[in-house]
Amino acid sequence: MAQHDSGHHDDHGHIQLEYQPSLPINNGKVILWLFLSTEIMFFSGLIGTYIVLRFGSPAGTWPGPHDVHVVEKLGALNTFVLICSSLSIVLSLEAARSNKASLAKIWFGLTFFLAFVFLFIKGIEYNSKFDHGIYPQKPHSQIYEKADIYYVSAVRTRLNELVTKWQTEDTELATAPNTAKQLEDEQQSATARRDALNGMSNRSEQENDELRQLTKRLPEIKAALGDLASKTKGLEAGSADRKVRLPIAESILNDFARWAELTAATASDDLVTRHKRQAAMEILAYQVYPLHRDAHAVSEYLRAEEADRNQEAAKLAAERAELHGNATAATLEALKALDLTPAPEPGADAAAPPSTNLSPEESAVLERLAAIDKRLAQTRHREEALDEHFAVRYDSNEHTFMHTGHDGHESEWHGLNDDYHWLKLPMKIPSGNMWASTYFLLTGFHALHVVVGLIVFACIIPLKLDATRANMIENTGLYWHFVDLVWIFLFPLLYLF
Amino acid sequence: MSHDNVGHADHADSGHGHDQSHGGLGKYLIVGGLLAVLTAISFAAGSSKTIMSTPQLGWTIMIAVSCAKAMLVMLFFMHLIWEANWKYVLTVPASIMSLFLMLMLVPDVGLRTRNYSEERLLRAATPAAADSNSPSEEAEMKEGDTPTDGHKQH
Amino acid sequence: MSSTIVDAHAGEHAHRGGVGAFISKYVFSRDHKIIGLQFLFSTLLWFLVGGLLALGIRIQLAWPWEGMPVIGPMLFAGEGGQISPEFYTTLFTMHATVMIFFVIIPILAGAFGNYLIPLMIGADDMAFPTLNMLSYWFMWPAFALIGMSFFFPPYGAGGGWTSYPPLSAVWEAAPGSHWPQTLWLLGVTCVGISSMLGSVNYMTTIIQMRAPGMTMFRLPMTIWAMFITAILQAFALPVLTAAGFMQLLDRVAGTGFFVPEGLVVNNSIAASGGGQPLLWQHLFWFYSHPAVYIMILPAMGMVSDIISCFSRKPLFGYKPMVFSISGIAGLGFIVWGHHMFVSGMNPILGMTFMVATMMIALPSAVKVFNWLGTIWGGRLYFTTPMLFSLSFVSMFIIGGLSGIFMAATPVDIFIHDTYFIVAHFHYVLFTGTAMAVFGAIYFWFPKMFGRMMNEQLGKLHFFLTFVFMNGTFYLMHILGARGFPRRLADPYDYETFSNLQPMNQFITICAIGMVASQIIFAGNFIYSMFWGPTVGRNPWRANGLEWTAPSPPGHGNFDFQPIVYRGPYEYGSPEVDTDYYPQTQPPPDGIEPTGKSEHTDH
Repeated sequence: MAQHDSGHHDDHGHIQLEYQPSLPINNGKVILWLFLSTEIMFFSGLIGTYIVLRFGSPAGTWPGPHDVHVVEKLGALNTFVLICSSLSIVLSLEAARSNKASLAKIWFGLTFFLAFVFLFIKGIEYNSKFDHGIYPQKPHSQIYEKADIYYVSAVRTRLNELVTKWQTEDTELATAPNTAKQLEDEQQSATARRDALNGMSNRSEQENDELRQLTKRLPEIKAALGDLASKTKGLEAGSADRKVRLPIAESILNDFARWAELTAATASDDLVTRHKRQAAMEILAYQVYPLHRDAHAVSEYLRAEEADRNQEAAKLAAERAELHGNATAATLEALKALDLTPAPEPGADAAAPPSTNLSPEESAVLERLAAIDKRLAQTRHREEALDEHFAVRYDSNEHTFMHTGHDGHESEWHGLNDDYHWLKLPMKIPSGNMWASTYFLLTGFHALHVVVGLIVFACIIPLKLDATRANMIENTGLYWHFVDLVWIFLFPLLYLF
Repeated sequence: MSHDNVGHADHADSGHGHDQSHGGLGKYLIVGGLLAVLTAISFAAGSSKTIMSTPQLGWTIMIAVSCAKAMLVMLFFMHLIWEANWKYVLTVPASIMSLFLMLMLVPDVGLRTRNYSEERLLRAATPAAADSNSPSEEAEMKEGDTPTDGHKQH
Repeated sequence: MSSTIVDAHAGEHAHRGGVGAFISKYVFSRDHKIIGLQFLFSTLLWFLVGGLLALGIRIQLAWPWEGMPVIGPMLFAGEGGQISPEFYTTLFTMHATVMIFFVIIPILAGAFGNYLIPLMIGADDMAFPTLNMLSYWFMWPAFALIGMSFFFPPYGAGGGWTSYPPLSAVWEAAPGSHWPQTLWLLGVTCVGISSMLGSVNYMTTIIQMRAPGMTMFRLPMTIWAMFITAILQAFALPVLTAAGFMQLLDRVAGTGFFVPEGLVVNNSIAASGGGQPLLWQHLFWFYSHPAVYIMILPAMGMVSDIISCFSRKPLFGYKPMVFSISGIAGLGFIVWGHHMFVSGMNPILGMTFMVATMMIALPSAVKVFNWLGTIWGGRLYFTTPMLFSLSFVSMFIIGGLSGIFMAATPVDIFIHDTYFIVAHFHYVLFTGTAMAVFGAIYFWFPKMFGRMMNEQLGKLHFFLTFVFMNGTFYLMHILGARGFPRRLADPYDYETFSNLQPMNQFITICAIGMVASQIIFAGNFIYSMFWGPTVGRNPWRANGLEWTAPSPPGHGNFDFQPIVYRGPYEYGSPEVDTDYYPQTQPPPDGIEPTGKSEHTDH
């Protein structure tokens, strides 16, 4: 045996050794299976993390598919696409083994195409999450675990940022002509002065300095003018948007968000107030990004508040009625009192005004009348304030911000962030940050494996896929089936659970 | 990378040179069809309100379906059904180990909310907006949350 | 035999000349021997770096705040050469990182694994030489990234080699947590990819490319250990890679896998959170505990070969040795929790992990008794490799026994994060593995370079190292029992530890001596590489297949087809007159090899 082999030399210039393999398969397949075992461990680390984080999250908080713009149908479609690609690569192997190279290439090409389809659909799905701001971000994502004061202040910060930015831009746009004028004036005078200096035959040291500075300054002015022009152009282009958006952002900031913030900041610590504080924050969160599971509670909050308001209004009305009654009674009393003290001889002192010499009883009556009037005015004011308060919440500046959970148009309504896509307000999605983290981790690493598969496919596809390449196709196929296997578990875990 | 092995490959391969006789278009198409049907089943289970009203049932169905799909892919597409016993050596330890890893994560991570400190609960996600009809009920309910709000006051 | 043909070819190859030929032969080589040597040289250089970092730690502990030589004036000239507490965290983090990821693991699996596996099983190269080359070149991004972390403020990662979150997962949190920590994570990921590529390749090679007659149970212990180590790496490492990616995302993308809710750093919410810091510890130790065995099993294998060779006796209990290595590896996967007894882990898990950990003592003891059994009654040759191997066995007993203390939860609660732990793992990793590695270098040096290392210098190196290392590490047990904490820049701030400073000064002096003794080794190594006496194929009169190849082996390793007739430990066999009986020597009566019928799937 040794002699037989020592005669052979391969192109490396050494003898071809004989081995005693343990497994009846080629080395490529052995190493590929070993590699797949390591991949199993890799994905079990990732999927295990997802499972424990998901089921360990505070009970009942993990977002459902619709809370985070997950479309189950797309996931199912992608599963189907991957299954088809697995099938096609196995058929390609079959064709290659029976030496039908062109058939093998057709099936292989189909696999390649389906992998692209998978990535395309994945891209659509990613895009919908990114559009809505559902992804991890530094330093803090737009997703908040609960509607608390931190959440409310984050909303305010975002609105402030928008309003300030646009206001500044408006101001800049308004002052732009002035600035341009100033710059042009400066340019003119500087040019004139420079020409004058240039024209002088003998300049003093000072004048030389001035000339140097002017020569330096003039290009700067020109550049500044250019900058200003392009900036103004940009600002003008955005001004139409700003005209629409600024009032909306302002009214949310000053009316609705402010209402929530003020209510949340109510100082009293009795249980009812505490509940109202929480309610206001939940309502704000719901209006920004409605979660289906919160709908009932929010509508209950609103109903309770409506009832409160009606009760308050009724109370105020009753008070007013009572005050009216009091006032009438007091007036009658006063009249009676006045009636009781008319001058005994009519006409004698008729011209004298009664006010000049009122008896103490009379002035007391008048004071009471005035006090009643004042309280009446206060009550009216409170009623008006109550109405206004609610008006602000429900309907301000002709924009409706308040939606109750169960009022019919819930299906087509997805919150302020959806109505005004540029708002990008922080959202309350309990456990949403962990959801986004794990979703992008799992699908991201899976997609990375798909991309690696695509690269391998791209390398193989130009080759002639006959029987000699069967091992290559088989090993590629094994990898691809593994990618399919991972997705088979990811699909229910991420889309349906 | 593998041209060094062409020499070894041909005799190593001789053990399963009869692979072509396995499979066949029909068998693969049936498996592919089954996989599609199973996907539809898990999709139906996932979107059925009746099944998902007891989520544990839905989860079990979906994981069972996934395992069935995984078995189909491994056995037929990855040809494991026709391979020698080495298939167990390469697949079983990794599977056991991955299950073991997940299992060991359950007490500390999977059940972590049971041991949350008050400080952590303060920031933790809440299930749904507090749901109640009257202030008296909500007062009772809020009693449980007192430490939460109490912290804010301090 | 056709050795002349092969040598001629090799010569032709080398003489084709030019820089390109040099690069393809020695730099981007696909030859396992060159790659093995590349690993060896890189790791020895990093060994120097790691050792100097350790001296930095020791100097700070012996004479805190008195100025650090060399580094102090360079980086902290403003403070009069006095290092900052943050820099101390960098020192111990980088010492551990360098020693574990750049020295021990790559020198065992990378250098010796690469060099010895094909030679000892009778293959011409690894199954996939290009992949093998990649596994070396993936170390370079790791070297670069972790090396770079020294140049970004605050000069080196400072999260500890365990990189525990939340501090390591939040960009702004800990000192050393900005760029250095991120680079550190990327570097460790590259080491992971390198090890993964290496390990699947080793396994394939060992499974598929053994010489005829070389059944699994005729493999030398070194190969068995490398095989089991490769399995450990292949199964455990991906989990660390996954966890590393998650921590990286926590740091740069704002995910919150390891960051709890409402983590406040510098008075502001640090991250979105919602995760669990303990998750990292679980995932990290799921790799890093098996990694502890990755760091010792190959050493055990090599020591078995050396001891058997220099006792001129068959290895006592070959199969029990194989099973105990497998047992250690298997148990190694289910004991990671013993690193987390004080982390707030669920007590039920703590109990499970404690029992499983204690069980590891059994296979370890089997190995120790087998080594002793091999030595017993042998005709001992106290050569340098043998001295290092005997030192390995005795020091491993100390390191192993101190491990049992930690395995017990109640004791561990007391000694956790004290110098007792430091003493334990240095006894296993330095006085254990590093000694075995020295022994292995002295043993296989003739094969690698065709020249002997100097025995007298080797023995001097051994005795100095042996004395100084015990002076360094043994006292750490006492420090630990006194509660002396690790990872503290100035423990003497606590009144109760201030009387331990003299002991620390003694340790530091010993450590300096220990590092200085390695100069002898470096000198011996470099001198012998070029001017040592040349040797023939089998200077130690050993049995293994590698000793039948030329020294150094040419391209393709063997100039004949090796056929294996027996195991590698047939010393003093009655069948032959010599006291060794090479695996390839046909039996006197000329029976055919029986390998194929005996062979079992591993």
